[in-house]
Amino acid sequence: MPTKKAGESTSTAANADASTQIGASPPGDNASRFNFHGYADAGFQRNVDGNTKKFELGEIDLFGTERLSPHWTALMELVFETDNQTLVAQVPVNVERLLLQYRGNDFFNADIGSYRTAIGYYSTAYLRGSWLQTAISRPKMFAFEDDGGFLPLHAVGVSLNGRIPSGELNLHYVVEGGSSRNYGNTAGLALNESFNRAINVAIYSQPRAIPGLEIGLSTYHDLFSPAAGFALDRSVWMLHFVYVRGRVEFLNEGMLIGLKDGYLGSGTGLGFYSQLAYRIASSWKPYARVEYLNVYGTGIESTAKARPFEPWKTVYTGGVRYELTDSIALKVELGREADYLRPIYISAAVQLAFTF
Amino acid sequence: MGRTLQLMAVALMAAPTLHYAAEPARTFAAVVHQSNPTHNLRFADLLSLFEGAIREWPNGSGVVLVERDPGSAPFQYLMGRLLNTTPGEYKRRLQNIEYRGETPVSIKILNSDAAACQFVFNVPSSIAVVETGSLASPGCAGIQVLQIDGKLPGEKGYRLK
Repeated sequence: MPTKKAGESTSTAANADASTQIGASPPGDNASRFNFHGYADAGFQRNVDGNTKKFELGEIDLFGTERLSPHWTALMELVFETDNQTLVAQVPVNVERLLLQYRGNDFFNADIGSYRTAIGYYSTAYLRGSWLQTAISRPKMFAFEDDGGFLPLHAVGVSLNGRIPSGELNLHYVVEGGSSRNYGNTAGLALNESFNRAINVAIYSQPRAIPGLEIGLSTYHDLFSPAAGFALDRSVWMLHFVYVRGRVEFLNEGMLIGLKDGYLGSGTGLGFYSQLAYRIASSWKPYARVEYLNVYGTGIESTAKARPFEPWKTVYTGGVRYELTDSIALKVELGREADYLRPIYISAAVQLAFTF
Repeated sequence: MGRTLQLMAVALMAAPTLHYAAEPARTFAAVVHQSNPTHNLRFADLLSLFEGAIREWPNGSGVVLVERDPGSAPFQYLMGRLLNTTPGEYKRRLQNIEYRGETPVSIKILNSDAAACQFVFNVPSSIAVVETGSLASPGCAGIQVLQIDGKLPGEKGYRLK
């Protein structure tokens, strides 16, 4: 074990400036380590949901990990959802993640507790913490469950993950089993929160020859109860192609979601988003994103009946991110959204996102 | 008089450029502990190591990245040329790895090549990028210089420059 000498800097990780450091001593020692990061944002929105104009305090995301032993880590992420705040006493506190992680080796790891489902890429890569994501808004398909989102982004259970010996392909797997969030929560009467067989299997490749590239597929299945007495078979297939390296950030995800009920019939949603960002100079990063969603139905859930429930049809977003410092980003964004039930509208937003 | 001032201004503005042009091209070396069984590293793997995508050596030991202080030539090279990123984006990337629930990247920041070499000498699982010129210093004795894509510093086609 090296001793500290003159000339050494031991700033910690991701809190510090440029010189991000996590763990001054080499891994393998038994020292407990606590890492903390906070994320917050504030901004101004015009017409973001079609009819508002307001200054907004975004969400405050408190993320911490504590290494309990060489193989065990506790992870907690708490989110204060101040974005819909009307009264101070009404700010919801959301336990976003609470995990006991077993880090066996590269090939076998287990996360036990409340996790984010490995549905596609965005769900685990960015979802919260607006400073981490390039744009102000996240792709609409990743709207949260309690915000009208239809993807099961959270679950409580067990998630196993690791690398698959695959040489240059550098394959990884994720197998998750648990209960998804909000199961039965919208039922009103006859609330029935029970195991809803949320199973997700994901596989992705990070080819060694092309650092920054990730290609993956996930398939998720559960019983979804949007209202009392209903238990729909829900299946979600996601495909992603992502390249994040150097100046370039190129995110692409496609989704096929199916809801099936013996009486109602079935509904299918097909959507994708594609986001391209490119850093120019040292601090400017313009970005653009296209999103599309369409639904089809059979039986009682006919296409005509299903479409009014479709939250959006096409969304075009463009903006620029400017790094004020290594910890503060200023973002400006314009969007154009087309829905089935509302006329096309243009939105605008400015945001200061930071980490602490 | 005005003409003289103009010439002086041009000369002053050109001075840093001329100085930079006269400076010999710097080359850099990736160094590891003598006992590290990796002797040759692919350029792509070196990028993945410093981007935090690879966090373990083939023998399973965790990689400790040794980086120089932000004002130094090796750090500037690492950010500007090797990773083609900025300190801010680099910070965001490393935080993102942790945020994804993955094992955090271990980084040690040192303010001289000699200190970086000494750290590598002491910590078997560490890797550093230092200036090739520093390898001859006593502080850098007893460590291993990695081949990058089969080439050592000074050989034709060597990529860390």
